[in-house]
Amino acid sequence: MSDRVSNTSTPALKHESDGCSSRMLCVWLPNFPIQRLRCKHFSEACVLYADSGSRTLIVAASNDARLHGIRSGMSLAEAQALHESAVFLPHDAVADASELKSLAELCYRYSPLIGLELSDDAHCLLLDISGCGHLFDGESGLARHLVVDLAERGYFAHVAIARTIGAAWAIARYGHCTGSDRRLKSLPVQALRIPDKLVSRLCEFDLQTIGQLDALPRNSLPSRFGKLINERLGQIFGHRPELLVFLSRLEPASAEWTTNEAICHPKAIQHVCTELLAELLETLKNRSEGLLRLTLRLESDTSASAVLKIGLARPTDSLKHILHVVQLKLDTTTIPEWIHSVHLEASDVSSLQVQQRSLFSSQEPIANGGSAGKLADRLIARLGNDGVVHPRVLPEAVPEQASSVSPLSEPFTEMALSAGLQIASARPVFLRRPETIQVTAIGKNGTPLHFGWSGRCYQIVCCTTVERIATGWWQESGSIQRDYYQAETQSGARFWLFRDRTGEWFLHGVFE
Amino acid sequence: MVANPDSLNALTVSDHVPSVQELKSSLHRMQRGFQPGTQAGPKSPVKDIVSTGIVALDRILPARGLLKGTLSEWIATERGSGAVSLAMRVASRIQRGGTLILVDQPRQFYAPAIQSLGVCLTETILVHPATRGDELWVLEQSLRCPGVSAVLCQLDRLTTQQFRRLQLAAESGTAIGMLIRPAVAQRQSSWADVRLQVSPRPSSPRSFRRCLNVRCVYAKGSLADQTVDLEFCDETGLVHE
Repeated sequence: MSDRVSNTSTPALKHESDGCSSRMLCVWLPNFPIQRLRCKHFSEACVLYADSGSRTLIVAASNDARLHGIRSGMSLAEAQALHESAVFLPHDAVADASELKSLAELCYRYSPLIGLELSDDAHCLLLDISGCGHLFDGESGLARHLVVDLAERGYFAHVAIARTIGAAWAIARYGHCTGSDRRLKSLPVQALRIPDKLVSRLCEFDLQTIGQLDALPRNSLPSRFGKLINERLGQIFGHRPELLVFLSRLEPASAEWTTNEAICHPKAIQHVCTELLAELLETLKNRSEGLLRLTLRLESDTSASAVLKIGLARPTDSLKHILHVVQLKLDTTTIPEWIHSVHLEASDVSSLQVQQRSLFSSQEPIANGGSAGKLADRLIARLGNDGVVHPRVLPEAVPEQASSVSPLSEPFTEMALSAGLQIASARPVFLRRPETIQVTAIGKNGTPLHFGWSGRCYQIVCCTTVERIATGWWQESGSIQRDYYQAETQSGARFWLFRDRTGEWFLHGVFE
Repeated sequence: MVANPDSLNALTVSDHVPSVQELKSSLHRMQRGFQPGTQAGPKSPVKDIVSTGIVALDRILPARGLLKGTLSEWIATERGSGAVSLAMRVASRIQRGGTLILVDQPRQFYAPAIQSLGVCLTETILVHPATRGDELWVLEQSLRCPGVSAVLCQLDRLTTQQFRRLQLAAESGTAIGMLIRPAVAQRQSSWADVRLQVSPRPSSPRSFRRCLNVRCVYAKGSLADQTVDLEFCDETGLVHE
């Protein structure tokens, strides 16, 4: 099974239809941890591992890696021996859950009632679509729209609709075409959502399919295989009710202040913001959440309203810190003169990160990451998102393309995916735009001997051997061919020079 | 019995040397208000010393390393001197366990070079202030932050008042401020604890390893003017004498 299918492929839709009023839709995202990484600019063979007790085991592997024999449950050392050049990354279950939740947000278009299923090998979204099908020209239309939406986000999914959660899950995960009771009975016992241990026990009795199990007297099953078997059989055929645990979708916390007499003094605006923020944080506190993004709208009758979007590095409930950040943002933004309404909304919230207090310390716990995070918030509030970034190295040959930046909001795990090329020669700490220089003398090997730059003439006494950097015509930057030299002057100062294919010389960096 | 004049001389000199050392220490205490690693008064807290990771460089520094909560000036005598590379190498050592802030107004820091000097990019924040005022504000904020281990910035102009503000900010935090200054800054007064002058030296034609001369021009409360020659090894990433 491929990890990603292009948007043009036929959506995998499995549909069981009957006259029952309850309709459940299950979206199964095969090999979801790998799919998630592939959506984030990553295309190499990838293997995810996690610690399991004293061992490190493989959790998921991309198709390229599977071709080399790497399987889930295998030890990391064994997998590395099988495919050394694959990228091995720690499995981030939290990021998986977060991404699945964001996909659930996408699905609210199709149903107001959505549940999640998270496990190592099954990442599913469960939608109660009872009475929603006619909005999309029937249930098939709804499923097709959903598959296309997911494909646009870069995900390949199997979708199934049935009258019970169990049946929808079983068909999405193990079915091949339409589903009915007869079809359900032909599915393997794994489709009953039972533990692997129980599956192997059933196989010992040569019970391979649901039909074989259903044919046995129900009252004899619990004593041999536990109560779960009967419960699952009842749920899949609709004889037993099963509750879908819905994702809670609370309205975003907000606070508003309106007046007939408009205000303009910064102190007054600050006071109003303080009051509203305290109210907002109180609401979030009751939900045990911290603020991650805040939208502040200042409305005026006389001029256009101002909307300030404030992002925080980590979820926080600290009024003092958020106020400081808001104040910095207000200082650097042009705000309307006469304000009659102030609206605050928590655009994004997240669970608060709690740090345990030290046993012998009376002081409040101070996390280094926390204080650096607060600093980042203040810097972003004043300089903007582009002004405060993480440096990144990209695996590109062309020097100016090998360096990049990423916003602080991007998690480090994603950053770790990028790695630079192994370069033997040194690179200058400061890279300049290629600047034309006048090389007045050239040595026997084609190395420069004298050059003029910035109003000065430099005599080169020593040079490295040439380092050729060339790219193909099919690349975005076009065909580049440069011969780089690390040149040392009489005093020992070093410069990074190159000659392009036209023979023109450039200074690209200074080894400051 | 007649004493050997040589042994008498030796006795006199050996007795004399500790007293000079004691005097130096007393002066050091009086000037600094504290002595690293010893008991200090309530107003002068003992500051932690962080090794630069280069033994030879530590040797010319009065505290055998850089003190947390202080500023250090790295004066580049000319373009391409290697002062930033050396400072970055030291910053990579100081960075351990904290965040490194690189203040880069001209947007010229090159990530692959920084990484090759040992800096952990995931624990590094690159800040691009738009104006001079923003740059100084970022420096002050970063130096005050307890989660920051080092702040590195290239500063051409700096008034005495601005320098003093930065020094006070550094004192209130635990970060080490590393200011890369041009040669003209040597004529200005400094609020940094240490001022190091970095000059390039011609490399050996056989190895083509980069050579630098580092001179401790000024060290607060201590005798300065000590020099060391360093050699960068690009293959191993080490800097040695």
